[in-house]
Formats: sequence, C-alpha cells, structure tokens
Amino acid sequence: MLFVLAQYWPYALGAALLGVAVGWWAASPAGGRRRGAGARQR
Amino acid sequence: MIQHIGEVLAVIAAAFAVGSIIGWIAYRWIDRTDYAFDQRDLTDRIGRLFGIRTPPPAEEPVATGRPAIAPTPAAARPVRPRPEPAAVEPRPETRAEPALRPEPTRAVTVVPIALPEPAPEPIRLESAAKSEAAEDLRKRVQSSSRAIAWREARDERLRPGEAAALIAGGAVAPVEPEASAAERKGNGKPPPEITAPVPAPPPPGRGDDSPEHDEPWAAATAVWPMDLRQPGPPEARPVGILALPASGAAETRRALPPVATPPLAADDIWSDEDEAEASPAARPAAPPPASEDRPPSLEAAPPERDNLRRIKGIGQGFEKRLNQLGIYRYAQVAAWTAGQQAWISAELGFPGRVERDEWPAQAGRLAKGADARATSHAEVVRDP
Repeated sequence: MLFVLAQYWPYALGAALLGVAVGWWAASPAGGRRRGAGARQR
Repeated sequence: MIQHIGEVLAVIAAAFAVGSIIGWIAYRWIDRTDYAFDQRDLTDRIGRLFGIRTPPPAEEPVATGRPAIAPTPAAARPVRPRPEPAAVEPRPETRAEPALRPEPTRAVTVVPIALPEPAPEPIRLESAAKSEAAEDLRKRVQSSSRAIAWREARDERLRPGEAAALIAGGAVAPVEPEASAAERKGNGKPPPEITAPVPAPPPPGRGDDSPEHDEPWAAATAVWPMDLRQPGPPEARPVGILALPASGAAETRRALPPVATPPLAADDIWSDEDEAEASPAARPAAPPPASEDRPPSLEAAPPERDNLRRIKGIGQGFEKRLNQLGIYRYAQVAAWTAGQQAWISAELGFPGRVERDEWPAQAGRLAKGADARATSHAEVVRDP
C-alpha cells in the first residue's frame, strides 16, 4: 500500500480533492440535504 | 499500474471518501445553519434503499385553510364502478373549491378543522446581537434627530414595530453580556422583549382604513428628510420632525423623551440652490475658454473625417474630445501652432501631451498618406 501510495499519490490527491468538492456539494442545500419528504414542510 | 490496480483503486477510493467527509465537515463548519433534522426524511431515505415504502405519519392533517377530506378506509368504501366523467364541465367557481364538493358516489367524511386565530406575536428582538444593535440605535436616537433615526432604523433593517418602539423611547430589556452569551447557547430563556409602549388603537370615531391605524410608521416615512424641499415659505416646511400619528398614540407621545432639536438655521436647510452648487453634474457644461490660442474648429462634422486615433497618443477618449472641439481632420491638427498645442493639451487635461507626442507632425505625415507610427519621433529616438 505504501509502495502504491508513494508511486500514485497524485491520483490519490486528485481523488481527495474531488471528494472534498463532492462532499462540499452534498452538504450544501443544493446537494439534497434539504430535499426529500421532510423538506417540503421546512 | 496494472499489477497494482487493486491497490491503486483502493487508495483512490479511500482518498475520495476521506475527502468527501472533509468537504462535508468543511461546508457544515462554514454554513452552521441549524437546519431542522427530520427523522421521517431519514427513515424515508433509508427505506427507499431497501424498497420499503415508509408509511405516512399518523399526524393531524395539514391545515390548508379549507376543510380537508379524510378518506374512509378501503374496506368501508362501497365497491362501485367508477362512473363516467361528466360531460358537463363544472363551473369555475365550483372547480375552485373541489374539497367542498365531494363526488356523490363516494362516502367521504368531512372533518372541519377549526383554524385557531394566529396570536399576535410580541415585538421582540431575535438575537442578542440584534438587541445590541438596537441598543446602539436607541442611543443614537436619543442624541440625534428623529428623522435621521428613522432612516437609520430603515437601514438597520429593523422591523417597523421595533423601530417605532425604539424611537418612541422604549427601552429594550437590558441584556448583560453573560446573559447574552447564555442566550446564544440557547438555554431556553426567551429573547428580550421590548417594553416600549405600543401605540394604542385609534378611537372608534376614526376609521380603520386610516394609514395611521395599520402602520403607525407610515406617517413618519411620509415626511422623510428628502421631502423637506417643498415649495412654500420656509416656516411652513417640516424640518426634521418625526410625524407621529395624529391619533391613537397618546401613550407614545407621552413616552417620548425630550429631544433637544436645535432650530435649523437657513443654511441647514438643503435647498435646490445648494444641490445645484454641490453636484458638478448639475452644473451646465462650461464652454471651453475662448482664447486666441484655440485652434480653428469645424462647426459640423465633415462628410469624411480622418481617423484621429491613428495618431500615436490619441485614443478613444481624446478622439471624442477633439471631435467635441470641432477637430476632425489631420490637416487641422497639422496646422496647430505651439500656442494652440498648449491650449489643446490643457483642454484635454494632460498638459504637454500634444507637444511630447508631436501630434501635428504625425497628423502632417498622415495627411500625406504616410504611416504615423513608422516615422514617429518615439521610434526614431529609441531605435536610431
């Protein structure tokens, strides 16, 4: 695993940044946190 | 990479997962809005993952302002073929209220819901920060003109009731710092309420449709400081005095603190003449000073005009200004004397620009059909 991380860390970094963006979006109201059944009553 | 594809994908997936969590936490840290958590929403989402339909909650029907129809259970519903839809369209007024006219073939139970009258909410400040702002505003109100305070109250985006109470001299319940800190944590203490005298309702003799009755602040906003410039003798103008409702605010008037408003001098009144003096845009565009150095200008634009922007140093703005001065042709520029060049430079606001860039020489070359830039002075000097 360390060998893989040492060699392919840019991919891991890119995936982490992408994950940050996706997590940010998902936590935002646009990402569906306020959608769903209960959102209509809020 | 092929031999390590499993590990690589695992690392990427792990990094993505960790990044997602970090991003989620980061957003929630920045946007710390306390959204209401809905357990039913979460249950519904989880149930949908497994194909389980979440039963609707057994809660009282939503009050929509009209009587709701509670359908009877399916067992009690009479098994009857659905009748053909009526060919006659119902009238619009009956279509507007479908809940009031159920279909006659269905057994329905109309459950009228008595909607409680919404209780009037007390005027209160929603947060301690807002109450601090209100306290600050109240101090400014007591020390300044009330008309200015009204404008500030508008800018502070206080609700009209709050602003009215503040300007009426009402005291916001004092909030100690530690109390306000505990208030932010939400220990259940109600927010501070304004103990200002609420304007009493108008006497019955006055109609309810008067604007003072519905909005006591409307009369105040009607006399805005900007409206002080009214025709008429100066003594008839309202000067910075808040116009309180003429009736129905006896308590408010009595509770008003004595505000020492100095009488306005004649210079304090902002008049049309002052505005004409203050704003340069209001002043008429002064014609360029008549001087013997002013170059001769054309009265109207000639049918073919030269592209003055080919002269090095003349851009869009200078070309526009020169055209306003009646200069359209290269020959005009080429004929400028030294005094006229100085006059033009001063007129354009850049003294020495014409002489430095040698506009007349460039224009002379352009008038002969040559390129101004190829033989311009600057290029000759830099590249001898």
